[in-house]
Amino acid sequence: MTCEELIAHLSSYIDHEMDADLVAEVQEHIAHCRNCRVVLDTTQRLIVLVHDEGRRIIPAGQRDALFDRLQQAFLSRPPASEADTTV
Amino acid sequence: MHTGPIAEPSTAEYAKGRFLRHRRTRSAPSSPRAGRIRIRRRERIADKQNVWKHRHATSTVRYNWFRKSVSTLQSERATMDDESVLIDGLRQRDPQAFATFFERYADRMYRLAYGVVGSEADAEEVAQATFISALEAIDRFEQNARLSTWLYRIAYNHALMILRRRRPEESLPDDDNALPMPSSLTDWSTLPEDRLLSREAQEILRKAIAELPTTLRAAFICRDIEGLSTAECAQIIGVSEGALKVRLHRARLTLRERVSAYFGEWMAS
Repeated sequence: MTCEELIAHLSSYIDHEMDADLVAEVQEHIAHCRNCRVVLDTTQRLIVLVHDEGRRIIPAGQRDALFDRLQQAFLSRPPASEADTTV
Repeated sequence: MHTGPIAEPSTAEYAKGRFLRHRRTRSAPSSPRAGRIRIRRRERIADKQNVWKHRHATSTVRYNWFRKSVSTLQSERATMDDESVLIDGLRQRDPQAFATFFERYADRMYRLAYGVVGSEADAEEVAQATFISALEAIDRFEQNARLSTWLYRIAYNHALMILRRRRPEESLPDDDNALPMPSSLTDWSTLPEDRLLSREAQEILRKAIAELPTTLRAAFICRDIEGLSTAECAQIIGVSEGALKVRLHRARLTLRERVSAYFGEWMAS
């Protein structure tokens, strides 16, 4: 496997969406190729960083106001009749 | 029901069983022809064992697939049952159902919206519009997809509308262009957490995500920030799974390059 091929398949490898033969080829390549190993490690680290730190939530003050507005709109609508519900 | 691996009979045990069945004892062959008959019998035994091994391996694979499928189906079934109860409550305008609905999905919709539109005010507008649209359509929701996937799709479409109002000139990137090979090869993956999570580093990362083209950014947010599956992300964004994977891959490599350039400079200084 060449470096270009490994880079092209990098996401599939990270997401475990690759068959066993290709996984073995990737692992053999990165065992001997420092550059590809760095690209793999840093990409995986980036994903972990983003997943942990990117989990933004609605700011507390805005959250309560949003909930109140939506609840008011929700409760002002009549309940669905059986004729309206689609199975 | 036997749940552990089935013990495989050894060649000797299997051969012994066969010999006992024929009530013969092993002895030196009396003639070359008897020797050849014995060899052919051993070969037939070995062939049957190979068939047995293959059937065992296949049945083990099938069993493990079945167990995994059952547990996945049970988990999905539990989610669907839970969603059905929630949807029924929303249709009956149950305040508790609404509270659960909001608590469960508000932050997720806000997060996706923020990732796409890039501002708190617009993200809140998207979240509000998403919930209003969803509550108006909940009576007609057919439950062909998961409730979360449906909501995400509504949120994504609302976010795109706001974005197009603000940036109508943005064109779609060409997914067919070959990606350049990575050029930043500093290994920053082992830097300590406090360095990677510093305010400056987080700002660099946030800016890099915001500067991605919208199509790449949406794929990255769905998959790597929200942690949704490839199939769900593709449904939300409205592309094939193959297209989703290409966009995700491009997004990851682009971000990696930006972040690596920053950390490379920092480590060199």
